[in-house]
Amino acid sequence: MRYGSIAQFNKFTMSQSAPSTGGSGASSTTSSHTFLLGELQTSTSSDPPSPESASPTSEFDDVRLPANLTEKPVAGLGVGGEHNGKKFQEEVGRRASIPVRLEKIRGKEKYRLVMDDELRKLLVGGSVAGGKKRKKKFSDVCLGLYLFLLYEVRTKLIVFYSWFLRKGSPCSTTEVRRLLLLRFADFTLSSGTPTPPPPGRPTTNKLTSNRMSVVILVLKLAATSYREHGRLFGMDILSIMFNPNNLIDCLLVDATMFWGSALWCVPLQKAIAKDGISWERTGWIIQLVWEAVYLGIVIEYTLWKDWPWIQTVFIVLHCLVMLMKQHSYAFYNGHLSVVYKRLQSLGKKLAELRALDTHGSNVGHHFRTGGVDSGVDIRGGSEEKEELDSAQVEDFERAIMEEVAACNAELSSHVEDDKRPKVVYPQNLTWWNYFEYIHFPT
Amino acid sequence: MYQKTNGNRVVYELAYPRTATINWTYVLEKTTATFGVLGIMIVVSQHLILPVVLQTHALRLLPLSARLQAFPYILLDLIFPFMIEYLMAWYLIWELILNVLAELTLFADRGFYGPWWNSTTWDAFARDWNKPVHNFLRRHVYHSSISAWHVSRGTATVITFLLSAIVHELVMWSLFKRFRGYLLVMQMSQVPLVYASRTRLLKGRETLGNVMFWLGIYAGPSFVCSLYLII
Repeated sequence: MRYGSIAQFNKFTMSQSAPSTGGSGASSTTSSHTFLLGELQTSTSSDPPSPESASPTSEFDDVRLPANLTEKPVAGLGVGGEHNGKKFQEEVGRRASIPVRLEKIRGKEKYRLVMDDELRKLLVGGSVAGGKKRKKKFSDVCLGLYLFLLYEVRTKLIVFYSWFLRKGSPCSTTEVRRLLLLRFADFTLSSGTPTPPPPGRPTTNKLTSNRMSVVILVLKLAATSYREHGRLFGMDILSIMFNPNNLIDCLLVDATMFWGSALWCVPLQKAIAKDGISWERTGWIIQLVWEAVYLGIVIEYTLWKDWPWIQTVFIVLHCLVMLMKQHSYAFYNGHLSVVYKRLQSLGKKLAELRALDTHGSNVGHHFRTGGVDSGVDIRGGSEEKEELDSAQVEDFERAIMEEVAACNAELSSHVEDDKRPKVVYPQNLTWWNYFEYIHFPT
Repeated sequence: MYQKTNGNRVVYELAYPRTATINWTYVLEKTTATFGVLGIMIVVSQHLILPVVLQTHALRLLPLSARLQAFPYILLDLIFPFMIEYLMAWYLIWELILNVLAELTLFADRGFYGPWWNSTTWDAFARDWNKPVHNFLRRHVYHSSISAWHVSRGTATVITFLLSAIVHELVMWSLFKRFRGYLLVMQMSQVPLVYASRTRLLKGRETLGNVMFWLGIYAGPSFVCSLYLII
């Protein structure tokens, strides 16, 4: 199953000995580079050789072909066959044989490798359990061969890279075969220091051939440009990009847009947290209006300045990013402000309830349910009978305590393995917090 | 109300995972790569895209039938440079710039993208190629629309795609100064494609799905841009 050496066998009609399973069986012989392709159709094979696969030997003129070919049950030919034919014969005995043959295409030099359907299925991962024979289709065979070669090349490349780059643990062919299932680019890109790649996975950077193609492309472009214009790289685009008038203007707008957003977001959230503005009623509407105005102003500015497209796209995209950041900041904090208010009202209710309980008021006390912001659903039952006995009071107390715990959990930060103190909702509304937040690559 | 999510986000959190120190070698490496990639992008657009764009400017004076005749050739001219630019732009932003920024701000969570190149469906691609924005849309559009308007998950998906498509169309409009809606239509057509990928015909055929996906990635950007440029 060595793809690299097909050229060496191009004069034989051959049947290839193939393992019963694609992955593990193939890797057992990877260390030796003997090629087992030179075999003729064997008697142990379950499939009788088709007439074409046995007959065209006459038109090949290889001197090494034995004359009494048809009489021999097994004939070891080719590179591998000559060196260890015996070993080969043993293997043939153990394995089912799948015919692969070469067809001559008009003339002596060109041959075509044709593979049986079964091998194709094996290569693309299908099982060979069902012995049903399918009709041979040339396109199927070619596809199978192509995918197989792709698979083999990639497996080898990754084994080599993981060894060569010494990144990650060195892995065997078997492992790589298991990991790769004919994916086109199953490579983990390096993603920064703090998140190590999962163990046992081959890590390479982007495929080196991709990088090489880019380098070659750039060289080609430089050469073409030199031939036609006498200079390596004509950079008209650079001059558009770094036109000083536009550049300074663009950076100024960007900075204003970027840091200036703090002047809106932070005070608004502080006001909401101090209960100056209700998030649920007016806050979110104000925020949405602000976002529309913000986007409108920035886009209008690019139109008014009539910037070239590079500046326009940069500013518009950055504006959208900032919009998303502000939206997220406002809506998350707004949501937290609602939770915070509920927590406060729950605390009030809890105090009320405890006061009831200590008074020992079994005589029947009116307990009005649900303030404006408290969790209404948990006390829905008490509206029907407005008198509470001490058992019910305990139940409600427990329910409120659970709700308080849930609110507290939502209001504090969740970072695993964090040694810093927890951040709780109203404390996070600082200028520095917002400043840090907009700089994070989120 | 809001789903707790792990991973990096364009969304606000009370606290984020942080690193202790800045690895300056890493910063230098990524910064150098940033300028290298920018240089390649400029060379490619200068030599492979700009001539075609100038050609389309000349074409605009011609009647529609002549423009339509020229369209396939413009498309073929643009496919390869656009593919390069597309991959480079993605690599530049999500691998290089975001990582440099994260390193400088001691930001520890580096999950800016998933292995989108292995995507077999379009929704997987939408999830993986731009994780920060995906997280934003999931929290503030998808889940918010479910909780605010009590819509089904399918409707919420359509709303999310629609919003994203409208924003993309806005960018296209500011870029070409032409309101055509090609990108909007193309992007919205991903929704039926997502459902098609879940049918019996396509489900479980990963290689086929991946091939279809890459076909779309190759043809999509150049097709849309040629449309905007010519018609």
